Amino acid sequence: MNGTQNSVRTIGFATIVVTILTAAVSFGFVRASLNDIRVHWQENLVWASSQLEIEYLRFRESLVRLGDERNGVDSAEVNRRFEILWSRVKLFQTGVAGQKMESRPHLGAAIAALQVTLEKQEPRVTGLRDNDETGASILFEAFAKHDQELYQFHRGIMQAEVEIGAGLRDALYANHLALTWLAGGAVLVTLALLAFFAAETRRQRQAAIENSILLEQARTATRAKTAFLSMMSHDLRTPMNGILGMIALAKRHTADLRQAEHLDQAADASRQMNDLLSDILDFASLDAIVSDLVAEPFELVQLQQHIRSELEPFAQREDINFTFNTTSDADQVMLGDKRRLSQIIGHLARFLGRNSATDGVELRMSYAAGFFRAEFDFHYETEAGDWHLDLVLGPSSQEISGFANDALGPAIARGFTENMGGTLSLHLPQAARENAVVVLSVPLKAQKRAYVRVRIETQSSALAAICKSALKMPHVQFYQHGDAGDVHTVVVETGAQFERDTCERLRAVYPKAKFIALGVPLDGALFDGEIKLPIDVAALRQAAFLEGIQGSLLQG
Amino acid sequence: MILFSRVALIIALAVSFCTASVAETILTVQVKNTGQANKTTQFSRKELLDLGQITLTTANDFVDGTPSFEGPLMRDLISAVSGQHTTVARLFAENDYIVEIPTHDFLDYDVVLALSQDGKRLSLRDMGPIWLIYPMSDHPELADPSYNNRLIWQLVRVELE
Repeated sequence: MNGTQNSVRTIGFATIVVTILTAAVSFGFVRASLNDIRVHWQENLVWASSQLEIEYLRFRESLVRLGDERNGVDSAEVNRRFEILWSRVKLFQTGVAGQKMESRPHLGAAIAALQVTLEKQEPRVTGLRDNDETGASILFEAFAKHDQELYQFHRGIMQAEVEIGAGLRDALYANHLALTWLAGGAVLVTLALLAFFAAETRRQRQAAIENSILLEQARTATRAKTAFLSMMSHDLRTPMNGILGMIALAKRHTADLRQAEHLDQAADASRQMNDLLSDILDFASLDAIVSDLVAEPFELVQLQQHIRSELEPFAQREDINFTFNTTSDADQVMLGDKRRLSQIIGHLARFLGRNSATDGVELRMSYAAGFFRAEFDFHYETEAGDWHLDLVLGPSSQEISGFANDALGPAIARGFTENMGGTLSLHLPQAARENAVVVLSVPLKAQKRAYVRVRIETQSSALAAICKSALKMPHVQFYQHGDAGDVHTVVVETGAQFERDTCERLRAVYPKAKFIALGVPLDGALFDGEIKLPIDVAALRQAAFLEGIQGSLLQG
Repeated sequence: MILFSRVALIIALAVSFCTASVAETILTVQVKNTGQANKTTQFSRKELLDLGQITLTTANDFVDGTPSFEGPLMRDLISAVSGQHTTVARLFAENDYIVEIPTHDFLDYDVVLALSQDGKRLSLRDMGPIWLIYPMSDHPELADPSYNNRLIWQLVRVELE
């Protein structure tokens, strides 16, 4: 494809260059022809020869009229005509006309002969006196021989000029013809190129359509495969759980130690099968697009608890001690896909625990500068067996063909990490006593923790303490006497005038707050919800919509 | 005594001839249609020389090389006859050739009424006594047939309108 595009580009560029050169050369030819015509007409020999002939006839006429009593001229007029005639002869001996005459030597003889006669007869003309008819007659005869010569000269000049003019016109026409052919050729080449471009564009468009169809087919096939894998893993897990349950029941009713040991092994195998099915399910969802990721607020502690509970069965089974260490800003809450993060960490932890022959992994989690970071710190012998830690980063090209069950976990972790825009890196020990560290880094947004402020108004301090205890949550702040600022929930003990006075007073201060009645209210219209005594913690939290308020505050 | 009288007569005739020769009119300039009566001024060679001389070295299609032409500027002649407000100059040659030239030409270019070429007085035979010369070597745009036609020689009369 690139080769074709380069060829098209080269042909296009070459055509443009050729067209420009053609236009320049043609323009040069036409301009040269026009310049030739301009030079040709710069000094028109036909006009000059006409002038010569006229002045020659005028001089001859003046000789005839010398001494004529009615239309006579004097000798001075004859001399003037003689001088003017001489000047016209000189026209053919100097300047552009002189140069042109050099290229027409056969015509120059008439001018040379007239010049000889002028020089020869000059004394007789200057010596001419008024009424000197005899002298005039002699002069008239002396110039008579030039009548026919000048006539032929003029004809020759005209013919030569016509021929030269025709030649120039022919040259111009030839140039014009060449220009037309060249322009026509350039137009044809351009049209051919445009047709080629159009065909190439059509072909590429068709190829793009076919590619998109193939891509869609591939996606459909992948989705079908994913759906099949998901369904199968679900369907397999259900009977596997049944088997585990039956094994547990069977173990409870047996007193035979050997049989119990066999049942333990069967249970372990079943659990491994269950884990394997979970991995297959995760692997099948690897091609999920990024938009499948959810952005929910969570805290590192929550993530840690989730991972700890997920890893606990594995840790017990494999006898590995997982220790957790989290560092983050207490006022920060991360926004991200907590479930997907715990999947990544779980896969990595199980893979490392199962393969690295370590008896303990320290998992350090932190959040800073827009990145969530999880470090798996554990003891690793670089020369221990066939297994290599760098499998975490992916199998080598030789190992891909032998994609083993062991590689599934890190492959899923890598896939999910890439989907989240994160990276995995590995720090192998440089000295004997150093640990290896696998580092997961994922970009996550975070925001300041939002609090729900609760104000409790009771007549009994004991009831207030119970209420506080029930509502005590990380994101709940309790109103202290003298605090300014808004309050989201007001809990008021019901009964007597206290209930009405308190609600009316605080409603004016917190018009948007939720008012919860603690007990049966005398006037239900004063409250948005009520909690009967004794206090049911879950009901109180639900009535106060603390979870909902927290969520909306965090999202906002 | 008689000899003295004859010598005195000859000297008087010679002076008279010389004076007449110097004062001979070689150019007639007529200013027309300027709101006043037509005004005709005649110039002898000496009077033309008195207008101030410049030397213009230039080629044209009618000479070999680049000779030097000497004579007064055409715009000085027009000023001398108070024809500054005219727009067209009609020039007549000895052989009745006529050419019309817009007078702004004379403001745009140093157009010379050449009386001599390379120090030699122009005769009728040499396109004289007056040859209108444009500075063609200094202005390439003048190398055009339309300006060639304005190089009128054997000039005898000018009409300004």
